[in-house]
Amino acid sequence: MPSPSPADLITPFQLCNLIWRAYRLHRLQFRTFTHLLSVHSREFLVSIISPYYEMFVRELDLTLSKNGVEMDFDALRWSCEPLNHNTQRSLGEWTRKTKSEASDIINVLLYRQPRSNVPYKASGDGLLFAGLQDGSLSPANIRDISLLVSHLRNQQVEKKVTTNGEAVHKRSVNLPSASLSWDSVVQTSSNLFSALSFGNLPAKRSPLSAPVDKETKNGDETGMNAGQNGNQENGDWLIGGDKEPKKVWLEVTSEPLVPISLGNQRPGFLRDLSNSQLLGEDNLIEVELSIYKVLHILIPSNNSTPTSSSCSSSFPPVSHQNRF
Amino acid sequence: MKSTPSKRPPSNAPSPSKPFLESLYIFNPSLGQTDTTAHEQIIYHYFAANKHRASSPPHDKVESQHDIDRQLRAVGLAQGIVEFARAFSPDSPVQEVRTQKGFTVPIEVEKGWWILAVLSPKSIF
Repeated sequence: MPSPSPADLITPFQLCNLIWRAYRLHRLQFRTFTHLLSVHSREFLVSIISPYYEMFVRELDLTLSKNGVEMDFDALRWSCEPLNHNTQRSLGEWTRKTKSEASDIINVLLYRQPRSNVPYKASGDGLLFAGLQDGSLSPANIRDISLLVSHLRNQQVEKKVTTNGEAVHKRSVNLPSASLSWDSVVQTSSNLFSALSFGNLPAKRSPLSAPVDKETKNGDETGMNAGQNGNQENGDWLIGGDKEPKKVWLEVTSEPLVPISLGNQRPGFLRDLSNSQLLGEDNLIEVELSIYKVLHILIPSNNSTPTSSSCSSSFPPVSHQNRF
Repeated sequence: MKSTPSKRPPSNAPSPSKPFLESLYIFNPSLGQTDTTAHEQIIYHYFAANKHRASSPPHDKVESQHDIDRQLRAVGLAQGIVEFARAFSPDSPVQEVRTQKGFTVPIEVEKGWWILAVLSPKSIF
């Protein structure tokens, strides 16, 4: 029986996500439509956005036409299941305690090691926890975080050059089942979280596919990144670092969850409001995120339900944070 | 809002390798509130049958009146459906419109700014 046509996989929801993704990247690059039109003429706005969306449309057709389209859609087919209450509370307590000791920490994100998976099935990995936020993350949260990291990753990849001077444009893996070679893994202890159900995140969008920042690795004085178990994949910091802090934008709404806008550059539409707490025209405020890598530290197996102390023991000390 | 379930076309339907996206519009209704300026609300549009189409400036004579009418019909229909549905669901806007001709996805990406995507049935099934 022939496999279903990729076209059969298209749904309005998927198309909607693709459009949202394009728009958010556009907003990151050019600012909002509203801002562009308020500052420039309509003709200028058209000249700015037309090439961008022309490219989007072309890529969209290719994306929808190629055989591997299901992999792209797999990246959109995921759900978000929050950590259970006890674990969230434990991690929240640890995060707040850590933040009180280091005021420059805004937030803490935890990611889970990828698992092999089959096509069409969302992988059980990705963002687990956004420390200081109360409550679980929405699917939009996770999507935007993954877009942010994906964007950062692309920028970093462009800098890499091989020994013979040939530029390397390394892309994240497309196949969830082939994603075990991800460069860096920010993971929690398997014992700590093995009994929990985590949110899913698409493999190719996953922050786990981001390359390791060499400077960050060098700056890791304790060598906690890979030295403990000798497994490079289990010990590297994600990306960022004090020399190049990354920022994201939180959208303040009436909803209890805080969607996070993507971007590692400050959106222009917020530039005039940088020194105030006023919101931008699209309700975005700028924050900095700190991402901790949680090493693969074994915890006695009788700790099936983590406590605050066990969580603390599984996280690196404050001095090993990476700002993101 | 899902109106009518889509149905599969005959077996001689075109290959799915053809473009799936029939058209894409970016518009702001407030930019063209009169009949003479209605076309100005569309700042970008793509129409697969024409292979491409960046939106033309208001004075671009290349754009045929037929194409403009088609754009305005598509945009106007989407606005009408959105406004109609808003009466029943003020807090949850229309996310998709399914018809026998395919489906349409209207997204208000910013206040007043819409992206409208139309997928044709030939390319879907």
